[in-house]
Amino acid sequence: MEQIDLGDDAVVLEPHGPGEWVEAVTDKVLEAHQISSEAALLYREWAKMLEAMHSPPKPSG
Amino acid sequence: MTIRIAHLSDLHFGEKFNIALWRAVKDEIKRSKPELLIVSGDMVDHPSPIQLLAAKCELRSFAEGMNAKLIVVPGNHDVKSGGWWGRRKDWFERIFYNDDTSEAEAIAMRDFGEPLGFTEFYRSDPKPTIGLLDGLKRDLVGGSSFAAHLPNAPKKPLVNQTGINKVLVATLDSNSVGKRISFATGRVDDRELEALQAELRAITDPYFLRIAVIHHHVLPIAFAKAGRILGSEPLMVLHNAGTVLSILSEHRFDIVLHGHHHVAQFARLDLSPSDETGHTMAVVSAGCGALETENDAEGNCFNLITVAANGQIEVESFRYGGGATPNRQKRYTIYREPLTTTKRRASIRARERHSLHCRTRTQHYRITETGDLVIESTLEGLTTNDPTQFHHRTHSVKVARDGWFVDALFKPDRTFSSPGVKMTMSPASAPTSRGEHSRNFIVDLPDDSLRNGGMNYRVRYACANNFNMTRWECIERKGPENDVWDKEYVGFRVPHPIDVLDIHLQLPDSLRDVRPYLQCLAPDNYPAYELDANGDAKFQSDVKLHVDTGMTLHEASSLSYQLDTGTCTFRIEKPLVGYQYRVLWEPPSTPESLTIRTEVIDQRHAILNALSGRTSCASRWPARIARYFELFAEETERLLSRRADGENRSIEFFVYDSQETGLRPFLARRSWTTEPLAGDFLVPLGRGIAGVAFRQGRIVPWVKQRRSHLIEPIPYAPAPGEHVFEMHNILAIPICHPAYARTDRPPPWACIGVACFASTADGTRVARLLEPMDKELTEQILIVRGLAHAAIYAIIKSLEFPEEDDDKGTGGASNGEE
Repeated sequence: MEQIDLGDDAVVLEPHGPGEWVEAVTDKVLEAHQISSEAALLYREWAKMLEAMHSPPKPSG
Repeated sequence: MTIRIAHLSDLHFGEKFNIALWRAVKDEIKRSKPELLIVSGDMVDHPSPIQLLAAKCELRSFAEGMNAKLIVVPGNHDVKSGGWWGRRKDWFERIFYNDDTSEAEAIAMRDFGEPLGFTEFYRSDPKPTIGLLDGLKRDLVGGSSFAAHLPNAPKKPLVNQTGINKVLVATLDSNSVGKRISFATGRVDDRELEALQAELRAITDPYFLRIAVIHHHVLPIAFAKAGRILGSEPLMVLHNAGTVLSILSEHRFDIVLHGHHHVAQFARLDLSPSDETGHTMAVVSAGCGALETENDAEGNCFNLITVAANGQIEVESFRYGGGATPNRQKRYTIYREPLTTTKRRASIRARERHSLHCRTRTQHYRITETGDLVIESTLEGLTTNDPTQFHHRTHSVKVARDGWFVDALFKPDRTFSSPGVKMTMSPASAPTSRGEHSRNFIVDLPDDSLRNGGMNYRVRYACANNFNMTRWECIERKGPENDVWDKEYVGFRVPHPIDVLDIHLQLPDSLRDVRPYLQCLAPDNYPAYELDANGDAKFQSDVKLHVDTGMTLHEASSLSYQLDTGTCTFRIEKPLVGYQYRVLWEPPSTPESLTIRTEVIDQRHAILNALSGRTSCASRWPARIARYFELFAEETERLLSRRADGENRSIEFFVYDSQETGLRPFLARRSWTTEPLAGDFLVPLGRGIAGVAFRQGRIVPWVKQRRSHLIEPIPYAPAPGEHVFEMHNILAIPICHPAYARTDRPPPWACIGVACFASTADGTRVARLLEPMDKELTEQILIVRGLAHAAIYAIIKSLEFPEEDDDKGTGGASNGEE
């Protein structure tokens, strides 16, 4: 049986693998794309929150 | 509907009749609740009118008590007066073939004061009087005085259209009317056979099950019981058994019931086993029902024949005797029809009933990663007995609540189809209580195209967003009456006889680990379904389907599933018309974190509660929240838009509303208007660009010039006077809980909503996302994605911890850096 070919399905995008996309946007990258300071601050706050959430727990004692 | 038939024979009510045993037989039969009670002759030992009347009253009362229909044929003992050359009496016809024998019954009651039946009193064959006014004389057996109170013999009915689910019963008198009976041999009179054939030919309503009842055995009894007189066989035979069998076979009778030899026997007769239109007959004999059988533990027998809803025949034989009564624990299943035989018979019946026939039907179903269903139906060798009719072939597809029929993909395959095929779409049906609707279309075939070698055609069509892809979606869309809410399936209902049905199912990668299985479903009115105007089985929405477990097990081995390719195929030979054949699977679940899921639900509620009473205009939101949105909107427009003259853009934040199973815009900015999006605008789960992104947890770029038609933007209701712009490039970004921000594909239960960018221009940066991406574009898309998350979580935080000046609704820009 031939495959039904009706063109592409929805093209879905996976720009980076897991975990890569936050770190990929450094301050330098934000600057290079001329992101406003206000938006860059918003972005950094968000990245900071993720960093805290995903960093391994510190050993106690 | 399952039909149960109790088959008794050779009761021989008289001297050796055991009344206690008869009561036990009746009790056992009552437990089986038969719809038909068939007695294949020799109800009495001697054909006296009073004993025949007792037999009639007994059997009538027995059948009525079970709400069963009674059918009897005469045996030699019911009509023969005795002796080697005894002449036939007509008491049997006068008593059994007349509905009203009340006058004679009243005389018996008056004389004896005992209800007529198989009682000790009537076993002694008492002689009724006719009373003082009739001459004060006692009647003799067979005498004229009592007989005068019996009706005259009517024309004997040959064919009984039982009114029970397409069951027809033909009764044959094997006691050759008008001729001497040679001891116990039998013969069906030629005139009776001619009349039977005439009656059968005149029947227009097709009968699914055809039963013939005759007293004498149409096949030799292969084993004689101990004590039988060697050489007695020639004194028992049916002289024209071959002729009788030939006629019954020609008219495709399924079961022949008989008695006479007091021996239980079963035989299956297939006169043309290699002919696909050939037919199998089950020939079933019952022994004597309630005669004294000393020292013979299986000297008595009756049969229970069950015809399952799918037509499969099963014969059970209850054997008892030697003082023992029938016992359910001691019954023998002497025949269970192979389902291949059942299907062969069903196919023959269907071809008798339908003018249309199709050699091969192939249904190819492809499910896409976005839950779309793409169907290719191929019919090969479609023919009809009536070339002037049935040129309209109807097709139907069920569209799920959030799905839609893709008109752009509805087309015939011209390279495969015979010339002149046209297709016409019908309006959508009204939605069901589950929100589903049907789309029907008609394939018109050119005149006379179905003659000769037949017609071929192939059509393709698609329903977008037609499946739940995860268990989470099943739960979200679960309706109150949806009893199979956690399963998905593709199915095909067989409209007319088909020799071979091939079903192919292609599953996408994300469903590759499911375990598809087959189900055969029968309509509750099978096989008594109606035909529609096009000659197909009528599919009535008010007729429910039930799983035919036996047929499902029978066909299950035909299903094969290739795990590496996600391809499921099965082939059904002679599928049952009216049935639906389904392939089902359970959408996969994703491991859930209750904590995160609860947090996400709370965050969605925080936004939905804030949206209540507001519009999606940023100016209607607290300044800080409006600013977060504007920051995202400004940077996204700058990074992604084409910045061409005349380009119109739209930026939206959507939140998922579980109550409505859709995405609601809560903040929007559109370059051509300050009007808010309509308050009731909802993107159904899995639809539109935003719906796909949310459900899949992936960024979805959509470009009009390169679209597949399976994903289309959801149109919104414009404000009065507002111009509607067609978006050419759209980007949708799912917004997930921070715990899943590093996950490749966050599950929808961990997603808050979607951020969208849309442009009326071609060739924005969105269009370039469909090509291999360079570093610059990758960084841009990562920034937009990050800002979307940052803005929405900043908004959620603001809603959780509002500051005093926030909720003034003044709108406009604020610096957003309190």
